[in-house]
Amino acid sequence: MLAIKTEGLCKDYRLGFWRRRTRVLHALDLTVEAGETFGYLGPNGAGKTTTLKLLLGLVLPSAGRAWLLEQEVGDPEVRAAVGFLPENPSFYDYLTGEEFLAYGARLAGIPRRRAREQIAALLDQVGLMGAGRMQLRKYSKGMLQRIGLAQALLGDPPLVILDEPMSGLDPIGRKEVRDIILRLRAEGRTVFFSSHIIPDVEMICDRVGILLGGRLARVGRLDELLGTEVESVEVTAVGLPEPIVEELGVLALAPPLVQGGRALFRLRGDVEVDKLLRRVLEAGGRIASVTPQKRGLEELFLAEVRAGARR
Amino acid sequence: MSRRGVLGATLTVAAMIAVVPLSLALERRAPPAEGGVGPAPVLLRASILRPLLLGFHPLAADLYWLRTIQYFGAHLQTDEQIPHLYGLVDLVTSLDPHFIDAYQIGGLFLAIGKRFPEAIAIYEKGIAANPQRWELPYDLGRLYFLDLKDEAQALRWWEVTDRLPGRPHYVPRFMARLYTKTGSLETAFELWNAMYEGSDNEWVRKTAKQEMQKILAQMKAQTAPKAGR
Amino acid sequence: MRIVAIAFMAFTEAVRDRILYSLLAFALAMIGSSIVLVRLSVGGEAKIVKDLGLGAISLVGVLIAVFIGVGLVSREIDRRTIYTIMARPICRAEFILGKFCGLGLTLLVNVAVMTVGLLSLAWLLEGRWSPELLPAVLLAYVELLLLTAAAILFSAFTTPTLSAIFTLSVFVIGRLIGDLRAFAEQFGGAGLRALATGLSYVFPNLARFNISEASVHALPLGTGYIPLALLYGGAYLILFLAAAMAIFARQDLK
Ligand SMILES: Nc1ncnc2c1ncn2[C@@H]1O[C@H](COP(=O)(O)OP(=O)(O)OP(=O)(O)O)[C@@H](O)[C@H]1O
Ligand SMILES: [Mg+2]
Repeated sequence: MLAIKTEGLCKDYRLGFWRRRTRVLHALDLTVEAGETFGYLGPNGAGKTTTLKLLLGLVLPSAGRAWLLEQEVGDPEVRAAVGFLPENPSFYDYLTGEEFLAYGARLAGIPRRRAREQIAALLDQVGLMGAGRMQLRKYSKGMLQRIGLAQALLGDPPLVILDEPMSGLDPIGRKEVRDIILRLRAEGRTVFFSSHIIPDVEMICDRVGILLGGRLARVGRLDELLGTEVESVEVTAVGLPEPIVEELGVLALAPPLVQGGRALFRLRGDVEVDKLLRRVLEAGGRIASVTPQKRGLEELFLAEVRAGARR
Repeated sequence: MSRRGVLGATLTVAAMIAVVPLSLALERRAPPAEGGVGPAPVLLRASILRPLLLGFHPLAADLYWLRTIQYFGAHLQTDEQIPHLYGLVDLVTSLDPHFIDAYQIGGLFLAIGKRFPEAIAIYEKGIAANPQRWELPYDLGRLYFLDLKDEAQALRWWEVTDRLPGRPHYVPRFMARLYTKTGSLETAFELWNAMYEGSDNEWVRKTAKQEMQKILAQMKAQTAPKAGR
Repeated sequence: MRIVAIAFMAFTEAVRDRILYSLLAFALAMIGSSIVLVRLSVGGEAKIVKDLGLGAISLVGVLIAVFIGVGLVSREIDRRTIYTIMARPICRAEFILGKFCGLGLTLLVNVAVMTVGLLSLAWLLEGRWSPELLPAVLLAYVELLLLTAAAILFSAFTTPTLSAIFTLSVFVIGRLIGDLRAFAEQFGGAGLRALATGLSYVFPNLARFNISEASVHALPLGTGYIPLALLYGGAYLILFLAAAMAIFARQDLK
C-alpha cells in the first residue's frame, strides 16, 4: 500500500503587487510506501512546507493530483487517518494543553473516553506531564513543538506528517522526537517529515528525498544514495614542523587544518596515505588517527545544492 | 485579494458611494417645508432624519422629547415664550408617531403657552396617526371646552372619544352636560378632577390640582356676590 | 458533531475575550442609564426604558457581530491556528458553519442577558412583564445572525478592517434600503428607481427585522409577519453562508 503518492503536483503562488504567478512546486512525483520513514530535505524556500500543505488540503494544487493512503486528498475523510504537525505551530493560546488535545480529539472524531486516556499517555510521551493544565500562552517554543507533536499523534494515525519536528527543541528534545519517530517506525506506521537537521534524518530515515527550487532532485534509499565506498581518508598528525606541514599539503585534497600542534589532512586514497605516513614518521612526527570517510548525507545534500545552483 | 475579492469590494464601495448622491437628490426633490411655526431648533426635517437614524428613531424621539421638556421648563420660568415648542413636539411625534404621551403632554404644554392652533394641530396629528386611542380626542375636546370655550367642537371630539375602546365612564356624562348646556364651571372642575385621578404622572397631577383650585376660587367668587345680594 | 465542537470553541474564545465583556457592560450600562433619563422626563417613562433597551440590544449586538465576526476565520489564518484544525477530517464548509454557530451562540447568550436586564427594569417601572417585547428581540437576533454571516462572507476574501467596513455598510444600507426605495419611487427618475430596486434585492431589508417601535407600543403586526420575516432572514442567511463557503473552499490557507 502507498501511504503517499503525488502525480505531477504543481503549486503556483501569486506574488507581489501585480500578483504574478510564480511556480514554487514543479510537477512533483513522489511515492512513500506504507511503513516507511521518509525524510524530506531541502534548503529554505525549496517548497517542503508547500508540499505538506498540499497533501493536507490546506492549499489547493495548481495542477496534478495527490493521494494519502490511496484516497485522493480532496476528500476531508482522508485526514481521519493522518496526523499533522505544522511548522512553527501556533495554537489557541487561551486553552490549556489538555483542552487543546481534547479539542483535537473531538475534531478527529475520537470517542471521549479513549481521548482522555490517550491525552494523558501522549502528554507523558512528549515530556509535558506537568504542563497539561497550563495555558498554551505560557508554553515555551519547545513546549509548543511538543504539544504539537502530541496532537499529531492523537488517535494513533497510521500516517504521520511532520513539518520540521525537531526545530525549536533542545538536544534532549531532539533525541526524544527521534525516539518517538523510531517507535512509530517500529509500530509499522508511516512517518513523512521535513527537516534541516541532516544527522537526525540520516539516523532514522529509510528513504529521503531532496527538494531543490521546487523540484525533486534526488530520492531513494539512504544506502543507495550514499553508496558504501570510502570517499576520503582523514589523517591527524602531531609534532610536525611547519615547513613539513606545508610540504605535505600538496598531497591533500584541501589545505591542511593546523591547530595546537595537530595537523589534519584530507587525502584521496591509499597511495597518498602511504606517502604521507612515511614522510610524517621521517620528520619525527606521530600519527594520532587515521579515519576513512564515507560520503554522508550532508555532503550529498551540499553537493546537490551546489549542482542545483549551477543548473 | 482575489479577482472576485476586488470585484466584490468595488461593488460594495460603489454602493456605499451611491448612498450620498441618492440622499442629496432626495433632499432636492423633497416637498418644501410647511411654513408657519418659524425656525425650530431642529437641524433636519423628520422625513430626512428618520431614515438616517437606521431604525433607532424611537430612541431619537425619546431624546428629543427630553429636550422638549427642558426647553419648555426653561422658557416657562423665564420669558414664557415657547416659539420652538411646536417644532420640537412635531419632530418627536414624527420620529415616533405612536408616542401618545408626547401628543398629550406636548398639547398641554402648548395650551399652557396659549398657542392653541399649534396644540390643536398636534392633537389632530396624533388622532390621525392613532385613530384607536381615546386619549387624544378626549384631550382635544377638553382643550376646546376649557381653553377655547367652544362647546360645539368639544362635543364633537367627545363624540369621537365615546366610540373608542377603553374610554372612561365619565365621557358620556360630560357629553350629556354639553347637550343640556348646564354648569360649565362644574364640568370644568370635573374635567380637571378626572385628569387628576386618571393620571399617575406627577406633573400632570400637579397641573390639574392647580386648575381645580382656581375653579374652586372662581365658584366661590360667583356664589359670594349672590349671597351678599 | 464536529460543527458543534468548532461552534463551542468559537464560543469559548469569545467568552475568554475581553471585548465581549466590555460590550456587554456597555449595553447593561446603557439599559441602566434609562433610569436616569426617566427621571428627567415627563411622560413616556416606560417607552424610554424599552426604546433604550431594544436599541442597546441591537447596537451592541451589531458591534459584536461585526467585530468578532470578521475575525472568526481570518484570525485563525493569521495566527496559523487553522492548520491543525483543517488538517483534521473537516471540510471547509463545516468550519464556516461551526464558526457561524459559535458566534450565533455568543450573540444568543448576550441578547438573552440584555433582554433579562431590560425586562426586569421595565417590570420595576410598570409592575408588569412586557412579553410584547420578545418578538422584537427575536427579529433583532435574526438581523444579528445575518450580519454575522455577512462578516464571515467578507472576511473570506478581504482583510478584517475592510470586512468590518463592508459589514457595517450592509447594516447601514440594509436599514436604509426600504426608505431609499420608497423615496426613489416617489421622487426619483427611472434610473434611480431601478438602482434602488436592484439594491433592495441585493441587500436584505434589515428594517423589516426592526419591529421595536411596534412592540414598544404593542401595535398589531400583519398576520404571519414574524414567520415570514424569519423565512426572509433565513433565505439571506443561506445565501450569505453559501457564498462564504464557496469562497473559502477555493482558498489557500497561508
Ligand atoms: N503564502 C505564500 N504566498 C506566496 N508565496 C509563498 C507562500 N508560502 C510560500 N511561498 C513561497 O513558496 C516557496 C516555498 O516555500 P516553502 O514554505 O514551501 O519552503 P520550505 O521548503 O518549507 O522552506 P523552509 O525550510 O524555510 O521552511 C518559497 O519561495 C516561498 O517564498
Ligand atoms: Mg518550511
